[in-house]
Amino acid sequence: MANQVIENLSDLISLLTELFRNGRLTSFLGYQKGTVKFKSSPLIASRAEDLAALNLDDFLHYNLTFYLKEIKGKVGLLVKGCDSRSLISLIKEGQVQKEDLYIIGIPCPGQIDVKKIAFSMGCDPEDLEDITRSEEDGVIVRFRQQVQRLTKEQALLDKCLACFYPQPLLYDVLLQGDYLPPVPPKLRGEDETARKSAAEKWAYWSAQFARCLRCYACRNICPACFCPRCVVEENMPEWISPVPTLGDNFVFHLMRLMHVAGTCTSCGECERVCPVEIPLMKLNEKMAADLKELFAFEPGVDLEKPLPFRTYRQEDPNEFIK
Amino acid sequence: MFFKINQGKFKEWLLALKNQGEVYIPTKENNLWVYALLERQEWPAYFLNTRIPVKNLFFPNRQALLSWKYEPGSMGMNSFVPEGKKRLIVGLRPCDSRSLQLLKPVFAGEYADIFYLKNLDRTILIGLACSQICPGSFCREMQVDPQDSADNDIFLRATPEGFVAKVITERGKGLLAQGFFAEAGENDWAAAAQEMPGRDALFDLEIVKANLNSFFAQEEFWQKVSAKCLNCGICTYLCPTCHCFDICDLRTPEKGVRFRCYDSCAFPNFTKMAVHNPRAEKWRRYRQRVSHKFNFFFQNFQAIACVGCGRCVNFCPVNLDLREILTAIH
Amino acid sequence: MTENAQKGKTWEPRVLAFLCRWCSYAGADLTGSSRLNYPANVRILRVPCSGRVDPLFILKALRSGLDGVLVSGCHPGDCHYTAGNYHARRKFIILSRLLEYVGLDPRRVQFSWVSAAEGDKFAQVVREVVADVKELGPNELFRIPEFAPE
Repeated sequence: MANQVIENLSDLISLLTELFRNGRLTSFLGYQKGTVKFKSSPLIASRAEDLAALNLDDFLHYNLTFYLKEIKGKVGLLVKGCDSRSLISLIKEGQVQKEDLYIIGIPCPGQIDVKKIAFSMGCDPEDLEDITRSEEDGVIVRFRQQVQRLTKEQALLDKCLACFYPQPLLYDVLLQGDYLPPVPPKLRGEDETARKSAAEKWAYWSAQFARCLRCYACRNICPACFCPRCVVEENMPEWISPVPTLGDNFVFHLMRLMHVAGTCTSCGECERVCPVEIPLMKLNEKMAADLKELFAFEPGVDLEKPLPFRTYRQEDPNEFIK
Repeated sequence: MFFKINQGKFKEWLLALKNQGEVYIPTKENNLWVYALLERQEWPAYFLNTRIPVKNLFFPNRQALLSWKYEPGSMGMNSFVPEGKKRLIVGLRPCDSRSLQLLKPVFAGEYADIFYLKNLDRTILIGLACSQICPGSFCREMQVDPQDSADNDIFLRATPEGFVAKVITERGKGLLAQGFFAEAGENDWAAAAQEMPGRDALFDLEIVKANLNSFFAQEEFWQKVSAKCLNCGICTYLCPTCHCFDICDLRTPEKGVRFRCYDSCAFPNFTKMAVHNPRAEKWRRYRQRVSHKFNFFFQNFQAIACVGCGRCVNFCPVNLDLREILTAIH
Repeated sequence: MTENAQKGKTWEPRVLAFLCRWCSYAGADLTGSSRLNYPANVRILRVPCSGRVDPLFILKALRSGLDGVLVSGCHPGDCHYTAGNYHARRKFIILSRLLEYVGLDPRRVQFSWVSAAEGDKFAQVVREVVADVKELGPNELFRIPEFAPE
């Protein structure tokens, strides 16, 4: 099966149908056509017949691994490079067994950042008429009857422009296709907020968290947030009030980040789904940078390396303690 | 009665309205369209709809209800019922305008909600016709006309020169007879109607309503359509007509505040009680959501709790599309 | 968790100190029995180990209006549970940096290693932390406006 050549979508569907028929799979997570522009839709197939809807287009943002929190059994799924890191994190956290999975790595040339494109053109994502990939790695955008070509840097998600693992790190089958070339590990350029004064930072983050509606989309879409009972739902005692006060919003987000530290792979889904545009990736990347600098740890890359809070060294930073 | 105004005078009129009360116009903040107080910002050249629906100005996510404070020998209390300070919201789309009226019977029932009603009372609504169809929307299927609305005090249609205004209420009329507008006729109003992109209707609302009862028992259908739901609250919180809330105290031993905040029937613990959670499974919650909005609410209030604005479709993190489900039920 | 500013009195900071039962709490006890003075601004919460201190406790303390937080445990290598303080050390530096990133002054949340024999060190640590917090002023970070409608 692993030697089967998969050249197109129908080959893939044939392979998966066979896996369903012989009981190797009970569910499959993939992508299907979306119903709004510039989005696909997750496909959850529980039978071979559901696979007919499988479709791979230019907008494969979803990190499907979050469904593994809910869908158990023998699950097959499509992963991009960044998604495979979430899988590794989940396996390390004991949330999923590798033997239960059938992992198909898919090529990713970098995902299109619709918001970035729209804001750079001074409009809203809803105003863009069409976005298609161009041959030179960029995109062609049609907006109010005008056609504009954008480069990779102008069109792709920041996380893709800084992607060091475009090819999935864990897979049973790897599909051929255009993969983004890896870039040396770096963060999203320099974070201007880090250079502000404490008062300015506080004002900035207060303004961000004041908007939080507490919809919990960020938490629910996060593969690293797998607690069956979230601390925010605890009311005896109540740690975080359901009322969206500034303080409780702060505590919710900072606590969530502390809880996923070491498992969060900066996939960016939390920021993408936030309905009020809170720049959550800034915090995730700050965390990732600190883990790398202080503990030489990169989440979701090495199945063997222990999680940063499950281990310690004698030489861990100590100067900040009196 | 109709009036008309040109662009320049319109801007002056907006500023003059500030003498009447707080003026809110659609404003882009943090890459989001919201209703914000008119300060220095320009009237938007091009905007579809606000991210957060207008219900937020009447029934906010964080509403203090009352507070208390213990002093030696006494307890002081304070109420947060809105004062009568007048507000004017300019730029309401027909869908959001309709939603305010839809919510009224919920808050004006046997237990009158003074917060919502006071806010409704003190706010003048100036609506604006649409020139585009919002992505994901299905307002026309929901019998909301993007070009006309009776749910405001004044309703505007944009023209190349400015606006034509239709008077709907007396207090609306009072604002227009102010020296900025000139009188206009029915033909001006008709001429300002925009050609909206045509599309075959996705479903017939009457048929959907009629079929919902029979769909209730179809467990497999609801399991299939709700499979990818995230259980977050985005569809609920961005919906102009959703109105479920939680009441929660924030307190110290000496003082406290009772707040009302949004709640969502999509949350797994929404119906959790001491012994049982009747809607522990996702498909039950989703079935309840659709049934409440399109069936039960109608039985209670003779209106469907959906205006087809499309926010739930457009902002659902996993592209769960209510239109597909309504079409299937049809 | 009552109001910090009291009518007619100058403000005194309230600092919550999480002390590990085996070292720091015993050290604080020694401070007392040695009749050493230290500011009364500190309120002590005994935990079995500094590793028990969840970042949530620290955030909740700040959220509740406490002006400062001190977490103190056994010196590295001396933890009664062998490695609790090592794990705590990792958590705390990450939390500290995160708080600084969002604009919180790191002097509000401080950490120390105080052994059961270091009664004088405990007094010194408390004096320093209270002085820092006093300089920073009352914690108005998460003030709820509805609490004091004027």
